[in-house]
Amino acid sequence: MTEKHERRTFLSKLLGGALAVGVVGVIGAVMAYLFPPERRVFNPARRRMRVARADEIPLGKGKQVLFDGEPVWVLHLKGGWSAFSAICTHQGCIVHWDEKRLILSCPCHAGLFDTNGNVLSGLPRRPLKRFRVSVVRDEIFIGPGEG
Amino acid sequence: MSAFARVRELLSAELRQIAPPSVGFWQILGGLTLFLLFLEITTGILLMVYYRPSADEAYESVFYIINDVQLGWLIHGMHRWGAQLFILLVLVHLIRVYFAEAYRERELNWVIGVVLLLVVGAFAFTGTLLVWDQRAFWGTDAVRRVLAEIPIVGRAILYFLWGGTELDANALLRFYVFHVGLLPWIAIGLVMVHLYLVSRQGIFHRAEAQEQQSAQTYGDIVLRGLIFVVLSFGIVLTLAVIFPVELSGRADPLTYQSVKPPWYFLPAYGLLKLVPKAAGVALASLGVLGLFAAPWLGRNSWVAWGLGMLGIATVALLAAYGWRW
Amino acid sequence: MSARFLSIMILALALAELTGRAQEQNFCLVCHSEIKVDYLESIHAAFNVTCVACHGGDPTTLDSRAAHALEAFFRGTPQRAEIPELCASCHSDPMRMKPYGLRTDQYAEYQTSRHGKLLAQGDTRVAVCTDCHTAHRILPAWEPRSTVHFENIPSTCARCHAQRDQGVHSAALAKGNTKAPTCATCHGAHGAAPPGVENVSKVCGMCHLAERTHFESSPHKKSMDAQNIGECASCHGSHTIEPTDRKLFDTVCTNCHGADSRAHLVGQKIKTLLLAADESLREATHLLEQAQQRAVDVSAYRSRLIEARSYFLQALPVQHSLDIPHIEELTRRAKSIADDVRSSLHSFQGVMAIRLLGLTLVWVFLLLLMIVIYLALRERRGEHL
Repeated sequence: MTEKHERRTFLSKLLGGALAVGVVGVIGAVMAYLFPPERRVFNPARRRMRVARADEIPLGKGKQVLFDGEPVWVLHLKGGWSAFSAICTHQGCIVHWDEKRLILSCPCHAGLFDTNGNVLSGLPRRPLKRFRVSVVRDEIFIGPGEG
Repeated sequence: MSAFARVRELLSAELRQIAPPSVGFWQILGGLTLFLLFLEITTGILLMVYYRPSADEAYESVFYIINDVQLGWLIHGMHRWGAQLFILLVLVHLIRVYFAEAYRERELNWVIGVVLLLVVGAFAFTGTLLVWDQRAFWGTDAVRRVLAEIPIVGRAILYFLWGGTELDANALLRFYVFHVGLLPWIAIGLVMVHLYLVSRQGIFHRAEAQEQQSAQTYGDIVLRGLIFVVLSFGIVLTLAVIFPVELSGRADPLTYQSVKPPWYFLPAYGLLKLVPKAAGVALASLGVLGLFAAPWLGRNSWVAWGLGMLGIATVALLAAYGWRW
Repeated sequence: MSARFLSIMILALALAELTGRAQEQNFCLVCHSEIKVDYLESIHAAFNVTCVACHGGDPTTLDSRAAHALEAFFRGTPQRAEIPELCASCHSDPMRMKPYGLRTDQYAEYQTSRHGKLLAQGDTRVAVCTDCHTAHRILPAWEPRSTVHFENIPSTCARCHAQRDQGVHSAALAKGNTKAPTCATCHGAHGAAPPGVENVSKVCGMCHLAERTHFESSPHKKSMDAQNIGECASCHGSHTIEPTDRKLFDTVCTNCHGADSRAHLVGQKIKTLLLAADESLREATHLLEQAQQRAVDVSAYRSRLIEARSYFLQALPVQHSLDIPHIEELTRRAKSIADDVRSSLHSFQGVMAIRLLGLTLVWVFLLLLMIVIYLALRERRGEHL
């Protein structure tokens, strides 16, 4: 009788212990989940991205940056700042900023775009996608949307 | 005697009570759905920590949960697969109760059970949209087209559920509110009444079995149920790991994508493919009414059995038609 | 008699009302109603260039004889041979065309065209102005209903010419590509003539600028010019240009070069380079799409693939230069980036292995737990039996 009783208490202790281990495991997983991740590469709700300080890009120059994986040209022009997707609307090559001619040119099929993003010549049919540019105090930011 | 020991004594006395011998494997289903409801609520609350219910951010926040949050993919996967298993178990529970004729003299509880089934369907329907990917969007938009064809009532339903006649940010927010704000309260309240009625009216057992000497206590049933709880937890976990959630791209309201409904809505889908939309909705409503009235329709055992078989066959055929089409 | 006169007057007034002030004095259309619809739609009607401008006669009278009298300089239907000159009498006059902002060199161009030259030799079967522009329903070229709208040019030319474009260009035009070339893009419009053999690369190069530049720097240019071999067309064809395919290296090179010549080897080498880069790119893109389906964050790899694709697309025109080191450089860059992306994406599948390992461990625990519960259950049942 006592042997049986001992076995029984041992089993119920084992059961209680196993259940406790399970609960601790679940709580641990939940804590890991609730701890906000440090890695934050992907940020789709982002509305702006810093490009450079305004005096880092002199008049007539441009800077190519990545905005959510898309190459973007930020240009300093006489009329102000402009930003265009660097992806050619013909077949998707990356266009270059030609500082001498003030033209965005595609190296693949020689498509040319003016500083409004419109097609000057070549095979592309649609203008380059625009991005919003804003100079906040002395910093240049770009963001999604026309402008 | 300490307060803890007193409660413990009370509980173990409860668990030592003799249970009817007919309580076997099938009677565990109801309890298992309770566990899955608990699992859904827990993972659901965890998902709410990172989810953002706006058309601009919903998809991206789900993406974020799956990619960047530690174990986020697992919590999300378990919420999804848990829901599938939940629906499956609720259906099996319903069929089991029907064919065991366990609804006799427990008509009210049967009605509550059917309402719970509808609530589970509403959970699944509203939850699917929240991901805001292409499949979710166009699946829900197909329902919008069906509702828009029902005269008068359809428009009212759309305004109430959708917040307008278009599927947009308004609708997403409403679905979210229903999914996490309204339906859980209804579900928990109904489950409490459901369980209370079971405990007051007693677990159903056939008259002939009553005579036998019972060999099990309620404690045994609880322990046995625990094995299946652990098992179903493992199954949900496995499904979530092996079949990770696949998103179909951010919802684009201008790019149509043809979507098959999930398996539990296939019968309704098949019916709507078969007959004109308004008639289909009317027939489906009639079917649900029939389900409510089952305890009164099948007073005779043979009639009940026949009706049940007919119902299952109809639903299965409609589902097969919807799946094939 | 006076009643008849009155009714005619009323009819004339009603007509004047209907056709508007511009056609006030133009009674021609009363009888020539079959032309009326066409004419009134035309740009000439809109600018009040009436029938008289081309046909002469007196439009102010309803008396058929007086209207068609020679004293009223009635000309009737102009002879085909004199139509270009007739149109040119206005359209080559800078003073008259200035208000409309129109060019005045069409007639001069026409005279240089094959059409114009044959007409000067007395062949009246060639196209004159009205054959393309129609006689009465003359519409500006930008209007889609116009016979000289770019989308309608192939069918307009086909009224006489059996040769129709059946290659990529007409396919693009049919798809609504507004930049797709029509007959007139290569052959010219008013100065229509087949481009000479030595000029074909210039004509194609209007759009395919990069291809042309690289071709001009190739060893092909000189030798093909010397032997009077068509440049672009000898490999790509002229009116049935197929979509470019790397199979071309196996079929067209051997037209001139022997199958075991060094030149053929160069072709095969270029083909292999392009093929390898293309395959890597395709596979990386496929993996990227798969990963995306599984909701894996791939935004960093997408921009790298855009870059790789850009290098590959740059290599395509460069192949016309036969400059193997240059092609090798571009395809190598494309391929190395694509391979890099590919291996990074493959490592995502390593994550799955870790997950499965974790799952196995959890299952071991769950199974133990179930065994313990089962033992406890058996123990309990043994007790009260």
